[in-house]
Order: sequence, then C-alpha cells, then structure tokens
Amino acid sequence: MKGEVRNPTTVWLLSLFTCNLYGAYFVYMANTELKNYLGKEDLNPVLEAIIYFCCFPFAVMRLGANIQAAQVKAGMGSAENQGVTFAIWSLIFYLGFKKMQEELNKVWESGGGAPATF
Amino acid sequence: MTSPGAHERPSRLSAVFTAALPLLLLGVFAVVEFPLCPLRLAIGVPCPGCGLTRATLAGLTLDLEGLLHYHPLAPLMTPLLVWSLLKPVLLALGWIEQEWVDRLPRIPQPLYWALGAALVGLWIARLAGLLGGHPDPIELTDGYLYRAGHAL
Repeated sequence: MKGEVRNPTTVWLLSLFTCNLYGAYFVYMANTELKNYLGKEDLNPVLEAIIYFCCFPFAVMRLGANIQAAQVKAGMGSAENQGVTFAIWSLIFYLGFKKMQEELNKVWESGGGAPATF
Repeated sequence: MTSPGAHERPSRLSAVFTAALPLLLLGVFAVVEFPLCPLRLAIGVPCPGCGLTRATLAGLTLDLEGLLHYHPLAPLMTPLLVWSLLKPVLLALGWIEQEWVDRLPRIPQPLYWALGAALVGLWIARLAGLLGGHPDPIELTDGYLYRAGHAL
C-alpha cells in the first residue's frame, strides 16, 4: 500500500505556520504510510509523533531511516539515509519537511501512489 | 588469510554506528548547548517537550519540586524516550535480541494517544499560565521569523 503524493512546498509552509503542530501530524502521517508500505509492525506512528515533540531530531532521523528503507524497497538502490540532513534542515525554517516529502514522493510516484489532496 | 569474523566486524561496527548516530549527535548538541527546539528557534515559544531534560535531572537528584516545575510528565516520557534511543543501539551491539524485545508486553495504543494528548494539553495549559506556568519564557522577538521580518 503506497502513501499520498503531496506538494512539498505546502507541507513546508503548513509546518512553518502551524507552530510545529502540522510537523507532528506529518511525522505521524509519514510513519503510518511507511509502516503500511514496509510492513513494519513495530513502527508506532503515535509514539514517533510523541518523540517528535520531546526530541524532534531523533524522530526526524528515525523517519529518515524509514524513508531510505522505503526507497530501497521501491527499487532506488542508491537511496541514502538522510535523517541527519532532514534534522538539520528542519531547524532552518522547517525546510527539512519539504525535503522529507520530496523523498517520500519519489517512493509513492515510483508506481501508483495515491493522488495528492493538496 | 583473514579470520572468519573479519568481514562481520566492519558491518557490525557500521550497524552500531548507524544506530548510535542520533544519540551521538544529540550528545554533541547537548554539550555545546545547541538549541534543538525548532519552535523556540522559529518563534521563541517553548515546545511541548521543553523542560524534559531538566525535569529528568531534577528527578535523578530527587528534587521532586524541580521535576514537577520543569515537566510533570517526565517520569512517563523519559523512560519511553531513553528506551527508544537505546533499543536500536543495544540490538546492533547484540546485547539484546529482537526476539526478547518482541516478547516484551506492549503498551496499548490508546495509552500512546492519551500520552500525546496529555503532552499537548499540558503544554497549552502552561503556556496559558495554568499549572504553574511554563518554566521557559515566551520570547517572540527571539525567534528567527520575527528577526527576519524585522530585518526586512
């Protein structure tokens, strides 16, 4: 089951202007989609959102690792773990969220992701 | 002629390093006191997790008043976070087995939702001045968004 293709700029702006609340929701959504796609039963999206509130770099780095795993599953053999990059960019105007969605879109667009709702 | 385990060692070290990287980076950031709260950096408002480290340190020194002041949910959040941080490292080191982790009792999902709601609810209440108020001041002019707008 693939996730939704979203506009990365919209994800970025929502994270920026909702005082981080959309950021937590994004972490929850992305982890839910990755859990379904990767079949990782031990991945708990609610816990990841809680961890995001308490220790956001750690949650973002874990999400980066899962995005890499999804990209490898989707056939992108050169996929790298960009968790640290995402975490650092998230500190700069929340740009890490834009990058994370761009990487997720590569997975979902590689074979029939759900159409974007925004 | 190389020993049978020679090839396993670099990959195991690599796995341990990968698992420990977030922990190492957080440690570096903590030592240099690099601000890790994106909300505080952006708009000068503390996030729901602000105060957890100080509350944990207060709890470890049996300063219960300090623990409650900095973050009353620390006794629940800190063990959860520490386990989340350490589990991948312990698994990569081989000090615990995935089968043992799988046999641990699971926290019911509604409890995670309740914890998340409590975290956000406590944050909002304390920002509003309730429950003793937030230990960190709200400094809107400290955020880079304000400073960027002011510069323009």
